[in-house]
Amino acid sequence: MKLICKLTILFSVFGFIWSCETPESLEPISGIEGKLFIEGEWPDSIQAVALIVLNSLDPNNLAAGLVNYSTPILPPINEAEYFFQLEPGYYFIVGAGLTIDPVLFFANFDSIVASGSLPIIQLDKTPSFLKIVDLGEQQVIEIDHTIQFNN
Amino acid sequence: MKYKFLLLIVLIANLFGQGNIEGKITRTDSGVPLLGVNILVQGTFTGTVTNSEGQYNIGSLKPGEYTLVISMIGFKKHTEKNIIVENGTVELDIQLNEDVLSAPHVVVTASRNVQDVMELPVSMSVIGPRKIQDHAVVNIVEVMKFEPGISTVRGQLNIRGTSGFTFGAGDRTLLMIDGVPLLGSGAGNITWTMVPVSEVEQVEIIRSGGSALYGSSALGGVVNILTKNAPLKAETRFRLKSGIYSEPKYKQWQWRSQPGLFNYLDVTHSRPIGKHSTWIRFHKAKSDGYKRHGWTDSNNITGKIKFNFSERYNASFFANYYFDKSALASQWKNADNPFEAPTGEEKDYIEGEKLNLNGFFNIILSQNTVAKFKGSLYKVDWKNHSVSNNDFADEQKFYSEVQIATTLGQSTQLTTGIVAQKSEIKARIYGDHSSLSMSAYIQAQQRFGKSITLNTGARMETYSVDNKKLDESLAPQVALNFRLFDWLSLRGSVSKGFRVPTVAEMYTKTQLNIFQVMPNPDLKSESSRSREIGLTAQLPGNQWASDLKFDLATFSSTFKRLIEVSLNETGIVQFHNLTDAIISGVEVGLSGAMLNRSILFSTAYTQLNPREIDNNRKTLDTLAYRFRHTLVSSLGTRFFGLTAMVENRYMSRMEKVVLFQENPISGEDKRVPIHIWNASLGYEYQDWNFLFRIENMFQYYYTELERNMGEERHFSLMLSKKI
Repeated sequence: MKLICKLTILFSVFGFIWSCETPESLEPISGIEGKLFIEGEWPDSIQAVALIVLNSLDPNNLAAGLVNYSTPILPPINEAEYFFQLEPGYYFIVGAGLTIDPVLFFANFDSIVASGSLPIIQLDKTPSFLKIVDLGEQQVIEIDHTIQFNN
Repeated sequence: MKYKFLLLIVLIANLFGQGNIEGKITRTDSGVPLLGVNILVQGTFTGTVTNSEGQYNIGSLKPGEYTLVISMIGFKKHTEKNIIVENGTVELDIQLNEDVLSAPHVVVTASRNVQDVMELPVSMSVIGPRKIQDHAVVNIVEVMKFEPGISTVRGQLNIRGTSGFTFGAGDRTLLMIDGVPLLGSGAGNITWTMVPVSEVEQVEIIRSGGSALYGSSALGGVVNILTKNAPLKAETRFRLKSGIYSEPKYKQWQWRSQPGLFNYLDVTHSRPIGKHSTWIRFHKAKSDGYKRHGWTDSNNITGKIKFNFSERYNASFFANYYFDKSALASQWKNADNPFEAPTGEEKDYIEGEKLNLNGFFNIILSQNTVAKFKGSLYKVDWKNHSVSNNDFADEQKFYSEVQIATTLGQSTQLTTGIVAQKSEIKARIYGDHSSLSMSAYIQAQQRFGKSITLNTGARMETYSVDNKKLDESLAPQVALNFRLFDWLSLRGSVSKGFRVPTVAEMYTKTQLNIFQVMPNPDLKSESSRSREIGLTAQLPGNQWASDLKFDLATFSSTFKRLIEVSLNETGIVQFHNLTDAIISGVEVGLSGAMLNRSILFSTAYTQLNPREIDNNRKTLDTLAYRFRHTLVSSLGTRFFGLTAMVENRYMSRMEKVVLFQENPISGEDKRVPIHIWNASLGYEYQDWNFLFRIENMFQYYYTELERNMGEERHFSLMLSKKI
């Protein structure tokens, strides 16, 4: 009888544990990753370079479609890796030159975005924007990106 | 004249007469004599241990009425009251009952005196060797995080959310080995791997502020590791734990072709040497790690000599040398590759060595007074081999303490002492500095009747850095225990605490990933006012449910100028003083046995409300790196030499972090609640012990610190044997 009691408790506990769902656990995500290369000499007006991701394109108001940005790279670095975590969908990526100190830019990011005017220069105009089509669930697309200052 | 003569005889008998208590201690179930049982005369510093025949003898007792407290790990504590000693010998044989729960019953840290756990005036957790063995831990923190009020963030211990995560500088928990502090002098941090886990007799954790007794670093609590004394017979023990990490369950995250392995080996030899005893332990740890560039390789030699010169003089010397080399990946490569190291950091590593020497010398001045002299040296050297910095530090800390404890009658114990600590630091990361602290403390424990124990005390400490006085502070404490019934005690305490900033918090200048860490020499001391009330109930129960222990505590600490890490508006990481903060909460713990003690269970829930406040006590923000809800539970059984256990640890999603958000625009990041399940199956055969264990068995993925994946599922087998 005692053994049956013990076994019942043990099986109940294991049953409870196996039935536990832990849906919050981290899972692979979708996104875009790759390398960012910089060629040529850094112009004086550019203090850092980052890639920015847009979900809608208004060349006159880039801030409106801004979804994410990469860790900025500073001169004289000419190669860096990036990764954007993104929901499945359509995106545009553009290389951007920061015209202010990147530390100040990211520390005051919310107010800068709210103003609608980003202190950036669009760098890679040809092709003007790279369109990412149909980023699926848990899909990571690898794209390397080159910015040429001499052009 | 006749009466005067008789009175004189009695007086002389009291002055010169001495009696003794002797007898034999055996197991109730088998009658086998017990070796190494502790016997203490309550209210005095007199005590002894049983020999291999289970015999004991306590001599030199003045005529009077005594109470003996008899305890041994693995057996229920026994108290023998109303023993009348006159001139001559009192024979007293005692039988001890085995305690399947093996929870220790007496502690020494709460008031610097031996105390019954039911008479504690503050909240404490006590962990015995059985629990450490059942968890097969290599790092003692791994077993502590199953106690109420305790959580960890990337290995940093957090008692009631006081520490948060301090990036390796300025721990608010004081670690002591046998009552002597072991904190780094520059960073004031704890190196948990310095604790010789296989030789730990008992871990005592004060969960409320301990500054009144232990000073600046004990603002958030105290962990006192009591190491074993060598047994009375020579023995050699080894413990080998080997295991394997699972591959991540998602293909996208898998990164290695060979499974990751880990191996830990402890070999200890202990023996008596005449009246003295000693043990020496060698420990080797080697792990591939569960993530790329997560390897460690360390070696540790520890030894202890206990000198028993006579009944009046005893001493102890403890030495610990540790050297290690480990990979230094600061964060994951990116959210798509959470088990990989960032590009460029693949070859970064840190190497270091640590030496800790400590000891004490006790002189029993009289039956009621004991003097204790303590001293220690803690030397730490480390060097980074990293692409972003080549920081190094070479620090040493000297500690000395003189303590006098005396009992006044049967009801009052007075403990007083002075402490001096001096540090010398040569470091690239925070410059060359020296510090000196001097302190004095007094603690009185007064018993009123049989049910009330009042602890009052205070500690005064002055602290200077580079010969410049930084601060001085007084930390008083009043704590009361009311033992309403044998099975129920109530407790309450109020205390003030303080902590002076460490050299690391004030002067660190380095590069941390993309962030620049800058010094803040204007940092001020932080202080706290803590209050708590609680109750402990212990019920013997019946065959269906027994050994029930219920503990409830509610607490609140108000901090002034709490030192926290912040990322300021110019992107610089710095330690700074918050305006004020309050951490309040509730802890509930329940443990016991069922079905004739064949099923054991324990559960503990902690709720925290950690918030930054302004001068009007209005909430400004949630404090970073604290879990609001923590629930830990375990259920186990023992039969026919087999043990089986499952345990669960849940922590709610951390509400605030400091450094990273994966997407600062949307606020989206990688923080989730934590649900970890572990299971183990053990078997004891003669002196062999086998334990198979699975940790994180459902491969739950989470981060405690941003961009740092929690430990992957791993399987281990531990073998231990006593020769």
